[in-house]
Amino acid sequence: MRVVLFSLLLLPACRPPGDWQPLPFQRPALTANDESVLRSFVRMSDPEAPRHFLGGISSSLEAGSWRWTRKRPELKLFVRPGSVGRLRVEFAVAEDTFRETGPVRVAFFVNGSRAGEQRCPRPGQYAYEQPLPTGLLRPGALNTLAFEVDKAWISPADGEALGLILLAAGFLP
Amino acid sequence: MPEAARILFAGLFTAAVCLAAGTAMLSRLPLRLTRGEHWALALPLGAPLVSMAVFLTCALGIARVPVFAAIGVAFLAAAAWRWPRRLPPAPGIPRRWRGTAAFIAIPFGVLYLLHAWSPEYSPDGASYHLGVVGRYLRAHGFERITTNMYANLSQGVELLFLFAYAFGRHSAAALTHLAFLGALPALLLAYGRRTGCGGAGAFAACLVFASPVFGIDGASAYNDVAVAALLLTVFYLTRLWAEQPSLPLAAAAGMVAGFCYGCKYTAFLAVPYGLLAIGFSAWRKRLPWAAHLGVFSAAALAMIAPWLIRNWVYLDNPFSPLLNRWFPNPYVHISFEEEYRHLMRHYEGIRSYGMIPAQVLYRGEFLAGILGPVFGLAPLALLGLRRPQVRALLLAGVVFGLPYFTNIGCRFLIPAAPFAALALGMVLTGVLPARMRWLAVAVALGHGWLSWPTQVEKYSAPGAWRMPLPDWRAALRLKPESEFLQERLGGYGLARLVERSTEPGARILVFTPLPDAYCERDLLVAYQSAEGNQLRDILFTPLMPEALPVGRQEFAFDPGRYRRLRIEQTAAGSELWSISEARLYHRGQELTRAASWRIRASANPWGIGDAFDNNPATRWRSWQRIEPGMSVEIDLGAPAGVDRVVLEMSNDQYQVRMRLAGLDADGHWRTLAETAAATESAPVPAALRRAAGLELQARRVDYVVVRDDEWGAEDFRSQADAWGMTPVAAGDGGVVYRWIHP
Repeated sequence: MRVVLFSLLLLPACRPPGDWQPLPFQRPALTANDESVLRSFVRMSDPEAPRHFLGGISSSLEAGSWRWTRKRPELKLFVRPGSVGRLRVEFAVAEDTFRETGPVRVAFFVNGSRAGEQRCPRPGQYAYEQPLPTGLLRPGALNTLAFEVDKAWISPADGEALGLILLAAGFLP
Repeated sequence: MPEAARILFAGLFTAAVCLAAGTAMLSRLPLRLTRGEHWALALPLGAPLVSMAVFLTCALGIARVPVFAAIGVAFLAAAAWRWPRRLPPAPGIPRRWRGTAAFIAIPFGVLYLLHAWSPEYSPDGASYHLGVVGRYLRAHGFERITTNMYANLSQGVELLFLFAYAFGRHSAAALTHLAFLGALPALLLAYGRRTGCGGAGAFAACLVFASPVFGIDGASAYNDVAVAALLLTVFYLTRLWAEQPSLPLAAAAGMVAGFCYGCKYTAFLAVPYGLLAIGFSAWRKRLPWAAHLGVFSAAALAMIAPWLIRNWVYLDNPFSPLLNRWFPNPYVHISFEEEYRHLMRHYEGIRSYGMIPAQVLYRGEFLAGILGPVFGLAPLALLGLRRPQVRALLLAGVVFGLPYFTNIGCRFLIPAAPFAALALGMVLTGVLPARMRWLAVAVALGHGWLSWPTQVEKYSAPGAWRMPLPDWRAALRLKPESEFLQERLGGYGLARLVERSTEPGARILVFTPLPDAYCERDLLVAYQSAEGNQLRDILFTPLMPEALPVGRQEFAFDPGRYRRLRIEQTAAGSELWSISEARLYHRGQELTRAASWRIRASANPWGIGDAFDNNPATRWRSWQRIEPGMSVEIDLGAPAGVDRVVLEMSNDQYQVRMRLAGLDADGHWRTLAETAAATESAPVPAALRRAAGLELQARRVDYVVVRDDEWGAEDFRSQADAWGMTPVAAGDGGVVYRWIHP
């Protein structure tokens, strides 16, 4: 009796684990052109961040978390219907550029309209966060976010302009 | 107050029913017991009967209050019918021990009663012990739970909790466990008196009852103290059998031994111990050992088999969540089991085994709980090795303590500690010279003083699992239960938030366990099942650079027509093998995946579809360490031209080495490529978060709960729209997300 019971217990182990299976449902590929794949807030470390760049942001990710901007970086961001808008930009002013430029001002533009300004009297990290005026954002559509630093550091070697260290930018609920 | 009375009634009723069942059973055994022995043995002997009756109700789907009430009344009536009369009193114990025992039993008894009576907030009790019990009661029986490996464990004590929970909810379960904390010292005292060592029994009873870890565990909805009482009962019954051998007694011992397995897998040693103990005694007494061992085994099997069968039917593995390599199944991954076992053997903070004594005796911050410093005297028990009684106790303690090395938490010493305490008591009260026997009383009193919560607080480490002074207002429900739990139970507020913000029947993915005993939703904790592991893997793929499917491994070979292709693993190592997508090419064109294709894998065959679903967020993983011979195979249905196979893989598998074999049109297997060539990394697929979110939706996850301090929380918060999620509730340390497009 015990032998029979023990044999029964071992039966599951006898089932071949490698049974053939049909192919699963094939997921349709999501493309970068699909507006819904763009986000309203993007962190520079995000592997998908470059899809949001319209210009003025380095393609190189530094230290796994930030990117250099030029004088006027610009992003495209998708704002879902119903999500209200606060603008948040996390950035830093590098000590090396600050030695040349001194205090800087950063002006923010949403869909081409000026949305605010941040004064940066010292080098270091800043987080600009302000509610946006009603009507400035277009829900359910692509929106642009640009910011402009009044003084950029110009590389003597190649004339390239370096503005800010950008960590994250976009719209939050 | 009526609520408090209901809870107390439920706990007392459950304990009384177990006592009644045990009394009815003992009255049928041809045993000469003293009064004290009878009542000490009645609870652990009755518990298996009541538990099995509850098991039957669960199996039949009739686990309801009236049914439990009827079962309780039936056992009480059976006991009344066979009420023990004229039981002889036990030999007395010295007066000094009566005073000492009372001095410890009364304050600690009140302390424990108030703690158990208060709303249950122990970490495991408030999560899986009672979470599963609640589910059974709501379902009126067993549910096929494949997403919580704790539900796969044997649940003999939890079914007693279910009985109590039906009448008095959570605290009634803790009171039921407390009954075993009462039975344990009673057994020690009774055994001591039977062996003429009443003082030793009283000493051991004091040590065990006052021990901080016994107290907090026994007054919570855990099962360790119950298991300790049951193991001591097996020892007791086998010793009784040696004195008064009979087939019914062998059956009773076998039943309790089998029930030990039915309460906790690690207590399975009760069965071989009982077999050896009875077999050895039978051999010495020249008794017909086969019949006695056969009866013992049959009774044990009757208690074990229901759990094996339940797991076999529900989970394809009678020993789930263990032995998954022997019984492969889609519910618990082999790699998880190995990792879990490793974690249980290597607690965080424990750098060497040399740290364990201090941890379990008085510090307790890493191994959860302390026995009390006085247990450091346990090695003195070795001085009594010349005495057969001490040898028997130490042998049992060693055997039942063996599983400690599979989990070095302090409470896993609970099964062995009573034996050590009794052996130590026999040395201190019997082996030491008479003029030094006051030492035992002093040690017991000192232990009681050192074990009182205010004293423990002084010497144990912050964070040690210990009992605070009780809140009697909470016990009597003069303070609202929710207020008390909000103060004491981490995650309680979030569990309630989840319940308020989701609908019944919703499946909710969480990464860290919530106290699901207080949340009537289907919480799918990521680490607790194979499905949870996979869901977490999908969700974290976009967040972890090493998990991104950007690696490419390519097999290029002479063009030919092949019916099957097999990718074989040739390396051994500690890593898992994974493939995000496997694509076949001929003359630069990818072969369209046809309905006639079939696929399989030798490891984790249930997940192989994830390598052929065109979804970059999913991947087939072996979920066990790589070893030569593992394979993934594609059957094309008919020979087709192929000259290249490209595997899209993550870069977290440095040890993986593969070769490709093909079954040609003539039916011969040929090696097509001995190695795969790594090619340039591909860009990160577009919309990976959205792909992951859609996949979770497809796998019927309705909500995701993310605690504020969990890895990835910031990304879910700031990129919720990218995931396709939106927060529906936030607070109490977490956010509840649901899909934007359900």
